Amino acid sequence: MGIRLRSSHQTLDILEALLARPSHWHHGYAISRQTSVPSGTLYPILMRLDKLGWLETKWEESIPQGRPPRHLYRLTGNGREWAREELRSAQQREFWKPAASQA
Amino acid sequence: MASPQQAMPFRLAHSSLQLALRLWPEESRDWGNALAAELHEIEKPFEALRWAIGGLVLFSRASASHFWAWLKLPAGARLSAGSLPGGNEPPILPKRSRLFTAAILIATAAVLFLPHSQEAVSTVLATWQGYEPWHLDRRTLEKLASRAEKENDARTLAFVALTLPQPDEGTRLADKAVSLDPSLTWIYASRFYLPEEVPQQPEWLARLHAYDPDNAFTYLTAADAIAHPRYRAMLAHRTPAPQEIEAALANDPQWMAQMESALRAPRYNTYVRKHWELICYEWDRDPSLSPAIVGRGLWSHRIPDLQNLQMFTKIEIQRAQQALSEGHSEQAGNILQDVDEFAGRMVEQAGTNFERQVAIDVSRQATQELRNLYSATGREREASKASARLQEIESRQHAFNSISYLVEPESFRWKAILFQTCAILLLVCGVTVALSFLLLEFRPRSFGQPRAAWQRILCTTTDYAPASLLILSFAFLVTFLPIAHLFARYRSAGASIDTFREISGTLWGLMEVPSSVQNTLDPPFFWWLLTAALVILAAVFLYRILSRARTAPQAAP
Repeated sequence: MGIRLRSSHQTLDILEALLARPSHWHHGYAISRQTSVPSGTLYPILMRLDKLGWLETKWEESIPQGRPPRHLYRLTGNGREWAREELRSAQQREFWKPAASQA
Repeated sequence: MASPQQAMPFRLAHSSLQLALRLWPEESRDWGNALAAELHEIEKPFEALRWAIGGLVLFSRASASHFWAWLKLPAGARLSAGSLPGGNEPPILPKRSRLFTAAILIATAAVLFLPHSQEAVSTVLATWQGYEPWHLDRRTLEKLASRAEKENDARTLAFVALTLPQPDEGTRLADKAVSLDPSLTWIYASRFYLPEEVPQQPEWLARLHAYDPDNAFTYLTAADAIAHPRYRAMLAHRTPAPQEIEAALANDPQWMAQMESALRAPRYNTYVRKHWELICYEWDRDPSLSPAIVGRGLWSHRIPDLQNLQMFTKIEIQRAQQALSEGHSEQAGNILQDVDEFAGRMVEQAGTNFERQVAIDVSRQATQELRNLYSATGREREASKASARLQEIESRQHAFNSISYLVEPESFRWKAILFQTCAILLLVCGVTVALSFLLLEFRPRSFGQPRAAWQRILCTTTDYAPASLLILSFAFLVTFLPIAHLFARYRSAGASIDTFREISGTLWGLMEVPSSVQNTLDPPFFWWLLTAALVILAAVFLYRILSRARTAPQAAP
C-alpha cells in the first residue's frame, strides 16, 4: 500500500484516546482537546489510519440546525488490535506513558 | 452581547477555512470539510483561530501531495478520471511523466544560466537584431552613464556617448566627456556620423580643427557637414543626377576649400585606434557587455563620406584636364600628383577596407591621368613609369578585394554557422515543447478525437522534445565556446588596428546565418512557400472530405 505510520507520541496519544471508548464514535475536536494534539497534526494521522484501514469514519446523521454535519471516527477491529500492540510496545520501550500514569 | 462565533478571530478562522475549502484538492476535500465542521464546536475565539491555522497546514500538505501526484502523471493526464475532456474514450498520453519533463527543463535552464550560455544568448540576440541595442542594453548603457557621471569617468562617458542610440543624450554625454578630458575631442567626429539624427554642432567642428589641425579627416568631416544638408535639400524635390551634385559641390567655395585643405593635410587619421582602444577598455572592464553594445560602439567609428571624396577626385581630374587643354601642363601635373599623394597617405593610414579600396581607386584614376598627361606632352620616361605604377596599383587593387580580416575565415564561417544553427534549433525546439505541452494540458473539448493522429504526434513531441532541448542547449553552449574564446582574445589583445578589423569581421560573420534566414523569409520567396503550403493543406482536406463522402453510402446498408 505504500503508507507508513510513524508511532510518534502524538499518534500514540490519539490511539489511546480512541481506545479509551473503542465502540464510541469520536469527534476530531474532542480528540484534539483530550490529547492536546493540534488540528494540523491530528488530521494527517487520522487520514493515514483511515488509508491503512484501521479507522472507521462516518458523517453525523442527526444534525442540529445551523451547523454542518461532523465527521466521526473509531478504530476498526484490526485497528484496535494493532493500536493495543503499539501502545504496549511503546510502554515497554519506555518511549511513551499512558495519560493516566502521567497525571 | 455578541456570541463568541461573531468575534473577529472566529470570523477570520471561518473565512480562511472556507477559502481553503474552495481550492482544496478533490481527493481529500472531505477531510477539509471534517476539520471545518469542528469549528462550530469551538467556543473560544483564539482556539478557533488555532484550529483554522491547523486546517491551513493540512490544506497546504494536501495541495503539495496533490501537486506531487499530478507531477508523476504524464502531460495531459488528470488526477480524477471524471474530468476527462473529449468523450468517454481515454486519450493517448505521453510515456514520460511531468516530473521527468520538469527535471529535464530545469536542467536545460541550468545549462542556459551558465555564464558562457548567457553570453551566447546575448550574442545570438544581438546578431538576430543586427546589433541594434534592445531594452536591456539601453538600461545597461544608462547605468554605465550614470555611474560615469558620478565618478567623472570621461572615458566611460565617451564610450556611452558613442554607443547610446538616443542622439540628444549622446550629444550631452559627448560634451561632458570632452569637458572632463579634452584629449577625447576626437569623439565629436564620430558623433557627426548621423547628421540626420544629431543636430549639427558648429562648435564641435571648431574644436576638432583646434584639436587636430594637420589631419585630413577633420577637413573631410567639415566638408561632409556642408555637403549633407545640400544632398537632403536636393533629395527633397527629386533624386538628382550625379553630375548635378558634382556641379553643385564644385561651385560651393566652402566645400572646395575644405576638400583642398584635406588634400594638403599631412596626415589621414580617422581615430580608429583611439576608438577601438576606448571600446576595448570598456569591454575588458566589463566582459559581460552585450555584443550589441560592443558592435554598436565599434561601428560608431566614423569614416568620411567616400562618395564626396570620389566626386572631388573627378572634379580635380577635370580641373587638371582643363589646365592641360589650356596649355598649363605643369599645373595639371601638380593637381594630379596632389591627388595621388593624398590617396597614398589614405591607403597607408586608413583603418577600414572601404577607405583603402576607395583610396586605391582614387590613386589609380590620378595615375592613369598622369600617364595620359605625360604621353600627351611627350614625356615618355615619366609615362612609362606611370604605366608601371598603374599596373602595380591595379594588381594591388585586385589582391585587396580578396583580403579577409578573419584569422581563419573558412573555419570561422563554419563555427558561426554551427552556432547559429544550434540557436535556431534551440528556439524551434523550445517553441515546440511549449506548444505541445499547452495543447495537451489545455486541450479544448472541441478539439477532435482524443486518439487522433495529431494527439499521437503531440505525445511523441512531449516525450522527446524536452530531451532534445537539453541536448541542444549543451550543443549551443559548446558551439559558442570557440567564439567566446575569440571574444576573450580580442578583449585582452590590446587595441591594434588588426584586432579592430578582426572583431568587425567576426561580428559580421556571426550575422551571416540570420541574414540568410531573414532573406529567405522576405517576400516573395516566403510568401510563395506559404501559399504552396496552404494549397497542399487545402488539397489534403479536400481529398479527405471526398474520400469520406465516397465511403459513407457504402457503409449505410
